[in-house]
Amino acid sequence: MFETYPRILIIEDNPDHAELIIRSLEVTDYDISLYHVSDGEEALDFLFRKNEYKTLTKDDMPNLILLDLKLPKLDGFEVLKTIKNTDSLRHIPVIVLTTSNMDTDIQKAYDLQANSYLVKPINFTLFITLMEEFGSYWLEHNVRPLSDNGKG
Amino acid sequence: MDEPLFNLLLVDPNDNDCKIIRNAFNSYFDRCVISAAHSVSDARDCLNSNTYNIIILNAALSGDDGTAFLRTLKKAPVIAMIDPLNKKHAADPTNAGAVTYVVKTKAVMRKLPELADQILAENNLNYKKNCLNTNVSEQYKNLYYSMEEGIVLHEIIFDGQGTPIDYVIVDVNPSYEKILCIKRADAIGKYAADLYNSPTPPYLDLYSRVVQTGQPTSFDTYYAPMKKYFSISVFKIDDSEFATVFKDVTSVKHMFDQMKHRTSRLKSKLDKLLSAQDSLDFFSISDITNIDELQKIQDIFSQVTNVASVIVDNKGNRITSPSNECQPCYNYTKTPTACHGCPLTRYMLNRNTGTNNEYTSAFEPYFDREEAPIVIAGKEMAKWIIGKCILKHADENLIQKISKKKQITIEEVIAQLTSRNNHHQIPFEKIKEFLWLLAKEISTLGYNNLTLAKELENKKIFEQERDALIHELEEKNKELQQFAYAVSHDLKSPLITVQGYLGLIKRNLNNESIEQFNHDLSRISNAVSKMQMLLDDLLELSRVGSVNHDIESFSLTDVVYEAIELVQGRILERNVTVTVDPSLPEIIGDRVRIMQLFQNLIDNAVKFIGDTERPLIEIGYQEIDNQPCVFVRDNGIGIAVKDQSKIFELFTKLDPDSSGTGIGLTLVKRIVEMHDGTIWYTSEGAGKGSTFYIAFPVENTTNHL
Repeated sequence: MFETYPRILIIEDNPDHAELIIRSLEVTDYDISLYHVSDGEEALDFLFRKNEYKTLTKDDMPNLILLDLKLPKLDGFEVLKTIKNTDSLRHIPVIVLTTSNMDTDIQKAYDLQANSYLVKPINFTLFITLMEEFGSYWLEHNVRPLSDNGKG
Repeated sequence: MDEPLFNLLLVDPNDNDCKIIRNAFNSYFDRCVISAAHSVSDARDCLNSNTYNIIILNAALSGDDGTAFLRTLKKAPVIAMIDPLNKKHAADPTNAGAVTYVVKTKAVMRKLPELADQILAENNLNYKKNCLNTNVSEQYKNLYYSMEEGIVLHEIIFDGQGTPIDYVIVDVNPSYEKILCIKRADAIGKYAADLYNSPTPPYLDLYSRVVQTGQPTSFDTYYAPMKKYFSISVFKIDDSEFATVFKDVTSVKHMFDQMKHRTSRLKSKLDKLLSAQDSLDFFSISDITNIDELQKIQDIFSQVTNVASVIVDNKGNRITSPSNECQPCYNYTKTPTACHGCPLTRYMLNRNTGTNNEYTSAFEPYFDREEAPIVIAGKEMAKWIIGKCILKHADENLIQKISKKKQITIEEVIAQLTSRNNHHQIPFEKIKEFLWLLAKEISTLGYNNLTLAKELENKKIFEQERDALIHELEEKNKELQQFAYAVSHDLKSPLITVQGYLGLIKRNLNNESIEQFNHDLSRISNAVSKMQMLLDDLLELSRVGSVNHDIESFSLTDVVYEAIELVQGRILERNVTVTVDPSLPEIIGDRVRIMQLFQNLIDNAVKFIGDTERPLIEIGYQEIDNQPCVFVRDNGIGIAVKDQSKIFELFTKLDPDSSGTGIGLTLVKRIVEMHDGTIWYTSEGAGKGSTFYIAFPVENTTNHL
């Protein structure tokens, strides 16, 4: 087994939040690649390398996805469902990161096989902490499958 | 002096009449030459030496000779005159080739020039008329020619004793021709009965009374030969002439009749519904009681008491099959089990039936019957009938009859009657009492069932109402949940932004560039104003329904123009043409809210107008399924079909880059719902423009078109 380069796809429609996530992750010491898309359709285009993401290669595919639920065009649940129903994508851990802390949303996300569910904290320090812990857990301790032979 | 001479040949032996006609023609036509002939031979001479434009001929002229002469006249149209009292031959001249016939009365003779003129005009022959031919003022003439009502001038024909026997049409106006589809030339000089296909002159009595008394009158009538309703006014002109003014009111009458019919039908329906007594008619005994159970009770009863029984409904139809039908009289009848063959059954069902039947009447003295009604809620729903053979006085004659019929000995008959009687210990009177008791019991049972049925019906209605209410509550609850979710999400988002950037600034306080600092600050400031906007809009939304203005009637056109005024800036910026249909209805409602509604819709349309070459927003009126609808239509970017259902949801922004909070259309929908209206959206898809339709309740809308 060899270490794969961490690549995170951030699916977030709020540009402020996207920037906050990116900047929080940048200040952590992880050597990572970050991609950002701002709606559900764009996310699937990215993952299926369609339209404006035609030129992406397998190496650009993320090995971690941060997913907001309330998205324009195609909502986060639909994106999650598609990822988990697609053989070549199913192995990618999807971490839901949303403002919603409603029971029904949490339940639905796990039913659709989300790997983790995080609620965006209002306090920034907590946000940084969350991102640091997130990085430490998912990028350091968590053993990821090889994205290249993901499905096996 | 270019007009041709008018040449008339007048064939009439009566000098006086000739004079009247001659005067009439001379005063009507400017240049008129009249040759008068007193006999057929005179006329022939004239015809040999001259040509004529028209010939007026007294058809009574020497009988057959006149008619025969008429046949030879081919060169000029002939108007035949017939004697007023010789109606029989009215059709003869026209059969012989005359253009038309007229009845020769004084008024008609004076009309002859006009008639001749019209006949010739139809053949495109025009002659110069004398301008002084009338003493009627121009104004009245115009009225006569142009008024909508038909006008007819008539002359009454009296017999030798001065009794009115008929009347003749002297002249008619153009409306007459239009209403009755009869040409003036065909009407002038005709008997009324002839012209209107009636065996007798229509309304002759009434008309002659008007002429005799001078008292005008008017009446409404249905004239069967034409299948039309007329409203007719009659007034006298002189001692023999009168005029009628009439109007065809058939269509009005039909409408009225239809309305009357419809009203009476509705009324009877309503009466039926209102009368509680009638509602029982909808029930039959089988709705209230279980017929199978009834049959069982009846069978047991008959077995125990050894009587025949059957139950019939209130119309006399059997609802159970008869029990013990033949047993009680088996010894005498030996009839087949089929009840219609059994005299007892027949006797039971109707005492009178079969009295003419010797067979039945022979047994009648030995039958007895009883019926007990089953009464539910005061209404007889059924009858339980029992019958039995009993031994009354053994009438010798009858015993003999029976023995003969059955071909058994008299002794055997008596023995059988006696033996039968011994078998039955329960006297029939007791059985009758028992029957009444039982019928009463069944009645009570039926009544309970009926009450139960009604209660069940009520319960069903209640349950339906409850379910509808629950459903509505669930919908509202869902809406509320969605609202709470949307609010928490959308309000939290800017808060997270503010806190996040504040945190970043704080952390990087020492090593952050001024550019980064300004950038972070502007993010914070944007988020705060976004928050402000959201809160304002939410507050506005919550006010709809809770803060109400006065309900008033106002012109939607005015309100729409005011709304346009409020978004004028944006309209000019995008160079959008806005058109408003001037026929928008008057509306009863909250004027401020309705304006807000249109302001939002127009603002929305401008916002999503896209980059069309000629941006256009139309606000118009249209009736859809008899409902008054106002629409706001644009040729902007439209909405993809899959997203159309979401547009009225709170905070739904199909375009994340657009300004605004996503509350506008939710607000619009809420305002429409507050006015008991409905709003819907149509678009053929992205890029194809949008139309919002708003239907207001009919009772709150008046269209002044």
